[in-house]
Formats: sequence, structure tokens, C-alpha cells
Amino acid sequence: MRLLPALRLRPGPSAAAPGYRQGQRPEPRTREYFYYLDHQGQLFLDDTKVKNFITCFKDVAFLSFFFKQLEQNRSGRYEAEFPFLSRCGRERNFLRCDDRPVVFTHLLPGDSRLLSYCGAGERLVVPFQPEKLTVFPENGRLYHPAPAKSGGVGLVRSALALEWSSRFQYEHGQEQPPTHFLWEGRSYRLTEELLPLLWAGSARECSDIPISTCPT
Amino acid sequence: MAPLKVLVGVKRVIDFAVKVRVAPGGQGVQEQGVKHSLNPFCEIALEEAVRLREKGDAAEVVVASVGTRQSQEVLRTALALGADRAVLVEVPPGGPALGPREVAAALSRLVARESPHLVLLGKQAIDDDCNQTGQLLAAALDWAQGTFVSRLALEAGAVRVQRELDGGLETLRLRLPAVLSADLRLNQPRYASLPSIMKAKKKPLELLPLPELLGCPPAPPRLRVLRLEEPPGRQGGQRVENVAALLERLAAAGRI
Repeated sequence: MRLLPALRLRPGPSAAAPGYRQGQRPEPRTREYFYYLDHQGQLFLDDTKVKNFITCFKDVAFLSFFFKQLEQNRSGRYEAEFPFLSRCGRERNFLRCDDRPVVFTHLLPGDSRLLSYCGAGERLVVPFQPEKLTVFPENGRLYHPAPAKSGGVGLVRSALALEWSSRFQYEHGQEQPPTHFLWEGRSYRLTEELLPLLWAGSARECSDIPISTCPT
Repeated sequence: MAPLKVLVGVKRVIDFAVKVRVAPGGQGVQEQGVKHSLNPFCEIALEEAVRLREKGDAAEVVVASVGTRQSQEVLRTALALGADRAVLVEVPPGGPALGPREVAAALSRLVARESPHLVLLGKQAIDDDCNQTGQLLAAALDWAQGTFVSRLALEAGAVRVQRELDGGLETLRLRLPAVLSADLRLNQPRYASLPSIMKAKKKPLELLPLPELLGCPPAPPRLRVLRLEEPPGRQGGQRVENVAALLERLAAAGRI
């Protein structure tokens, strides 16, 4: 196949085939699947060639179960390449992410103050805590607390960060991270308590590890 | 290679996650209080233009939209995603809906004003699915066109594109200037970081009334929506035991 000069095949877990096969059975009655979550909170099978709003998983029941079961991957299999795991009976669903395994997409309408994530509407929510919104200086992205099992911190998706951007106040000037967030008539001083978690996660990240051997 | 100027056209549409409802009267859909966002295909076109500038192939990315003042929201989003400046070709609210013909006419006037070397659009808007604006604009300008672009590479005085067609992939080399329309596979748009969002607030956003751009009152639209209705609800299915039973059931229903 002749490639245009601008193309580069990217090695790693996203290349089809090497390292795993979807539905593989390493032991009897155990199947393994491999998933990818992008920075918009869209979930795909990891080897889906084209990842966009048409090809992502949308079934709310499936998404809700998948993310409720999500935990750190300590199974001894694919831990470096797929840091998270969602179990379904004997089935292992491995997950790797563009950023975090929780991506907040919108606040539920009404007075609920519930922040929904990963496309499952009201079935995957956390209480909204405006004072804990944190801008990570390393990448300029916005984060919020998430369930502890999933790492304790989730990404606020870009579209939502844009909606909220005019609510941030910058006591130390706009070259520094924001200091306050205006919400429902109140100015919340940002605690930045998520920063240690974000720095720890950043140190651990190794997102471009290619899979060179396939565990049998 | 001399850096070039890219014009990106974007549209404000109802968000793809919204369940759309026909408005009373059956002439349009409910828009009041409904979440709107940047058309996904336009976002991909914009991302490609910004990448060209970051690579040094383009010097400036100008983003434009034709719509009411509310379209400023998507232009601010586009600035946050990396465009250098924005132009809103403004139309008053409550007027007839603008279709590809009107938008292409406006964009061709904007092209005359801005003199870009490349125009990038999304291949279609997710509200009307027309997939016409890029083609109409290229014809109005008498420029080369590359539609459904899934790969793009600039060369000296030309652009090489890969097009996604039903029958496969086609590679074309188009002399500049050209109009391209982006398909979904072209790229995956970036996250707009908070620093980018804050910088975008200071980038220029010009409001340009449509009659002023055209130099005359706009021509009235030639299309009139007769009726808009939701698709019929799904009926229950029936299970049959085997193919013979299926054929019998279909024959009894007069289908075969």
C-alpha cells in the first residue's frame, strides 16, 4: 500500500493484531477484550480503526456497567499497556485511555448538581464539587474528583471546560492557574487538592509502549 | 514552500447527543433552549488547518461562520482550538434558514476579501446532511475541489488528498487554490486547554453583516420546507421457527 508522506503508522496497542486478539481465551471460559477511552469520554474497542462519535459505544446500560466495574488493572496481564480493568463475570475488559478513565461530559439538568461521565447520562454520576476543579499546569486541562476505584480524578471534557471557562477567576493573573470558580452566585476558592493525584499519575504514565510480545 | 493562508468554514448545529424534536407547525425542529455545538466535521476541518500551521505549512488560520450572533459561540470554540482570528458573517435572527447555496455565496465573497490559498470545510452539517457547500463554493470560485478528504499533504503549489469513496480510496493532486471538505477519518480534534481558551478571548472576532459583505441585499432562498415529521415509531417484530415459516408468513402478508 502506497502511503502519503504525511502518514506514519503508529506502533503500539492501537495497531491491529500485535499483542492481543479481541475475545482471546487465555484460560478456559475466560475471554479478554481491549478498549480505549478518548478525551471526549467516548469508549471504543481499542483496535477500532476509525474512532469518532459514530463508532463509539452508546448503549447506556453497557457503559454504566463497564465503568461501574472499572478498577486499576492488577491482574498481572497487560498492566503497563492497559492500566485499567472492568470485569464482567470471568470476562476481562482491559482499558487504556487518552487521558483519564473517567471523562465528565455534562451536568445533569435541573437542580441535581450531579456531574455525568462517559456517556451514561444519569447512570454514571458524581456530586459536583466546584471547589475541587483543578487545572493541571502540565497540560492545561481541567479535572474533577472521580470514584476512587477509577483513580480518584477525572478529566472534564473540552466542550464542558469551554462552557465553564468564563466562570474562572484569576487572582494571580491569567498566566497562572485560576484561583476561583463562580457557581450559582457563589465564588468558590479552588483547593487544588487533586494536584498530587495528577502529578502522581503523570509520573506513572507511559502511553506509547508498543506491545512486542503476546502473552500466551 | 511559502506559508499559506487557510480559511475554515464552521457551522453552529444542534449537538449530536440531543434527541431532536419537530417543532409545532412541522416547519422546523425545536431549537430554543437546546444544546448547540460546533459541527463535528467542521471541528475536524479546523483541526487539520491548525496542524498545517503548527507544521509551518500555513501561516494563518482564519475561521468563519455564516449565521446569527449566537454563532459567536462556535467561533470562540474554534479560536480556543487554535484558529488565529474569526469572522462572523451575521444574519438577523428569525429570518429564513440559510442553506448551502446562500452560505457558499457568502463564503465566496469572503474568499475574495481574505484571499486564502486553501478553504477547508466539514463535508456536511449534521443538521441538514446536505454535503453541498464545499462543492458549490468550489464551483463559484472556479477552484479545484477535494471532497471527503481523509488524508491531506501540502506540496509546492498543490495539495495531495486522499478521498473516501464508497468504492475505495482515491488520491488526487490538486493545484492551489483549492476547496477541501473534511471527512471523519481526517483526524481526531484536540482538547482545548484552559490557557488556549483564555488566549482565545483576546483573539479578534469580527462581526460582518451579510448585506455588507455581499454589497447588496441577499437573494431570498429558493427552497421552502413543506413539512417535517419524525420517522414512524418502530413496530414490534415476530419470531418464526425456520425459513419455511418465514416464507409462509411473508406470503400471507402479501409481501412475496
